[in-house]
Amino acid sequence: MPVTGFRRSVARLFALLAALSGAPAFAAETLPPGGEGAFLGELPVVLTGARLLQAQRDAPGALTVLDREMIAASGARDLAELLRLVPGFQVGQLSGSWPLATYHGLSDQAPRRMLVLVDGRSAHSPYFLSGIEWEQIPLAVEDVERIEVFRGSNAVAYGANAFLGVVNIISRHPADTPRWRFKATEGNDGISDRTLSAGFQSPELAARLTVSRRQDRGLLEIPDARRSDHVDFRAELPLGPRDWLEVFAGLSRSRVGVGENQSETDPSRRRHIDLGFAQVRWNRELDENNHLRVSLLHQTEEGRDHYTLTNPGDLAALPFPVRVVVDYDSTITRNEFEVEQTLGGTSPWRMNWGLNYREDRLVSRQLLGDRSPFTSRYLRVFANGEWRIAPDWLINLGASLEDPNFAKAKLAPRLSANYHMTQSQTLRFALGQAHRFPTPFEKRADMRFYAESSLITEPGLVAQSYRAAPNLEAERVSFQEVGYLGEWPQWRTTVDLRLFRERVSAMIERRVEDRILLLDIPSLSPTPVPIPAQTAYFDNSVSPTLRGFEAVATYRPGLRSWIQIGHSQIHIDASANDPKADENERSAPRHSSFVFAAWDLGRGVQLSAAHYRTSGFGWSAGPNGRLDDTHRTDLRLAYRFALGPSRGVAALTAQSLEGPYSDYRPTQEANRRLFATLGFEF
Amino acid sequence: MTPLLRLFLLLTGFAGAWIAASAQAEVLVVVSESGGAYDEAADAFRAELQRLAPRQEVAVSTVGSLGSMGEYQLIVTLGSQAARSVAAMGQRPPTIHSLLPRSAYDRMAGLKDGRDTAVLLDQPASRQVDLIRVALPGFARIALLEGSESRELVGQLAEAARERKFTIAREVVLRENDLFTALQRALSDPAALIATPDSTVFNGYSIQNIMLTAYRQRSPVLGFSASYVRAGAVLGLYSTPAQIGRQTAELAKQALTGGTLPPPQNPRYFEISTNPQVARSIGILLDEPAQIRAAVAKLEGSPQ
Repeated sequence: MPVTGFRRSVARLFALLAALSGAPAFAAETLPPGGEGAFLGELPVVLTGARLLQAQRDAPGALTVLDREMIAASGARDLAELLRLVPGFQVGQLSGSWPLATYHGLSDQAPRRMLVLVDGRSAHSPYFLSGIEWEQIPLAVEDVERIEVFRGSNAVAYGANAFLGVVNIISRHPADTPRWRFKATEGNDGISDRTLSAGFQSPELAARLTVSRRQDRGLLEIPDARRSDHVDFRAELPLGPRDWLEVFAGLSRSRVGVGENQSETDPSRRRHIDLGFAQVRWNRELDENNHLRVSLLHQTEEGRDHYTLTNPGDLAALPFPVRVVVDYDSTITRNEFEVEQTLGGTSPWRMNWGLNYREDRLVSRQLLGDRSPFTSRYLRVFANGEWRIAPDWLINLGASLEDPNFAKAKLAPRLSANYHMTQSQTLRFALGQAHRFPTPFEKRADMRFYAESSLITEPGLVAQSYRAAPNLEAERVSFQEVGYLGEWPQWRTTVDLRLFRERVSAMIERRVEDRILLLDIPSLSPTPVPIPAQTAYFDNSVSPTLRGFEAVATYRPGLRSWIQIGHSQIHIDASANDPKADENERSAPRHSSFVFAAWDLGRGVQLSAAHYRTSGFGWSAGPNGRLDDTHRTDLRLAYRFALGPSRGVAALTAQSLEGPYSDYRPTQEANRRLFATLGFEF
Repeated sequence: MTPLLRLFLLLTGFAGAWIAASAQAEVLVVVSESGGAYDEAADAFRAELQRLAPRQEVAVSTVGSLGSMGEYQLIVTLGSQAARSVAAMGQRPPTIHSLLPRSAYDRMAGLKDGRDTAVLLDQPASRQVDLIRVALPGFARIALLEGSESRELVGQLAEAARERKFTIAREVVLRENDLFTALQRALSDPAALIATPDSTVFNGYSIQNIMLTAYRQRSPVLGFSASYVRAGAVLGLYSTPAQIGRQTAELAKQALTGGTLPPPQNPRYFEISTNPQVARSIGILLDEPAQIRAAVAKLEGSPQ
């Protein structure tokens, strides 16, 4: 039988992997002979501190957790969409393949003041403006175990990019995966997604391999169709009762439409982005209260996007053809090493400390002026202590020191105190400071465009979109917050409030200067032809202050039934010297709210709905880019059933029932979407 | 060799033999293997018997070096391998089989009522359910996974849970492939999952799937060893080899002073351990293990 044959080959492949790793047969080695082995033998440590979700009441900041049931009920096809369910977040789409998500505004087309981690791996790209590459995350939505969102700075634990918030995406453990899973989604706008996943478990190895494709025609009116294929692998190999190895690997291949229809300078074209990574994490439980973890990561990314323009923009006036070659091709290599130790657990104190080294090597002719690589290196040491000074008081003190090779080293300290007023109510006070270093592009940008023609002897500079800012330094945020958490398990209710003040100083911001470029065309004119141009650069001079509050109340009588209401209010005061004061002040909605509800109707039927309302704001795209008040409603009906030995789910999802809506700029709309999903697992 | 020296050696040899005969042990402890849990139980057995019956001599042997047993008054086996080897011998003194699970004892051949008994590793069903009642008052639902070797055991647990007004989610796992579905069903609502020593369901590799699913469904696991708690179970209920050794010595004392042997016993002394980190993470606040232990002991009227 071919299927059995394939299964056997898969099993053999995994067995080979196990053999290569030198993993001993765990059960055979550690259990004493005879039936009492079960009582007296060792077991692998499954729920270690690193895998546990920190109790919200003990967390040093506001924590929002989206679990697998919530993720499924939301109907989200993309990871970024899920952040609409977190108060204080803004989610938009620059294009159908370029989702944007940020926390507390102050953003542009590449939000970079919030960190996104997938199983501890940063999803930040050092390319261009260094946003989050959501589309290049190989992890399928179905393989997400949970998303933990830390609302607030957490540079202490995660380094400089965790400036205003951290989104931690944790994938499903390979031991908790069915043998086979298949899911297909079809809908309007060319939606056609597939996921196929295989799980393998034996005493020597637990592994999961998922192959998925996401495909659609993107937003209305713009040529942004996408097709992304992903392969994601996660394995865990027990090396002994107290050691285990985690292996993560992934490939992503995206073909996405970019540019605009009938644009002279940004023509409609297809961009190719290929990404691959491999990560190994070795864990050792030195003893029950001493956990050591060492991880290594290697990632490469190849982008292909080059084209030639003929007499674009002001060059249209020239009486002969000139070509401008645009070459956004890029190669990015990332290597990261981290060692982390966690001490204590049951005792009144707990501490973790570690060291992280990261190296990003970027080659891009168009962005950096030539093909020579720019390597940014970051060395970070961090330590965080948690001390329960009394049964009802928990103090958290931490700091991280980060030293990049292209800017001054910075220290980020944080202090928080959690006071458990009663069994069910906690008050939290926190203050601290964090930094964000300039990205390679912000500091070193040299984006020039040259005209070439048989009539011009040397290619002439006709535009420079960005120039370098050699003196650019890190921006800083100082924050204070008061939090309240009420948890009443007997009423299945939680209430989470956060009151914050965040002052950003020396904020890195885009500036534009007018220039006249001179193009030498001897055959046409004895004097150089002047070309007006605008060049952008980055500068740190302004200091906006953000104030506001966030509130979430959840009533969850069952795992598949809940109602959750969230609201956030943000006021941004720009500093007096800010030339873009209005833009910054309106970069986050003053009010935004959501209601997310799901109900288990019995017999496997679940109905879920989400409604989002956001007051007007702009993604710093100028006054014309400002969005009006928007609202959106999503609805999903799902039916779970058993079919022989397999379990199935059929679901119908409608997104934006109200019709097309805008979430990046008013002229750009996403269509109302309707799609059906059928999935099986066995 | 001079005749005088020969005589001296002969006399000392006799003396040695006489001393050895007078110190002939009456109890033989047979361990499955030396080291670890078996030695811990054997040491505790010897110390307790020494305390209860100071003149009693104890000899220890491993399965491999087992000789004639006719001269002993009582045999104590520690571990199922030792139990099986001893039970296979035709002529033997009364025997206490200790430090073995019920499943191993029930499968043994050559046992006689009144001449064989056991101190089992399995905790009584009532104690396990009482522990959930005491330590996890927020849980009214108990999840049970029944495998091919645990039908009776799971039945007893279900009965004990029913008597104490718990709702029961019982799922059958006969093949490895059933586990995933059974877990999803049993834990569709948060429940306290009781692990059983049925290796067809709970073993070194299924434990990952079980612990992770239970954790995600915010369901605490009750394990039957300290390893379970280290692995991620919120509660552990078990007897240490030393506690089993102690109880075995008490039974041995009773057997040596006459009478037939009582039926197999569950552990009398037990430990409770907790994993406060996992508990806290799923929103459970636990009392100290000693407090929980005292409350369980009080409920069943056993020594505290």
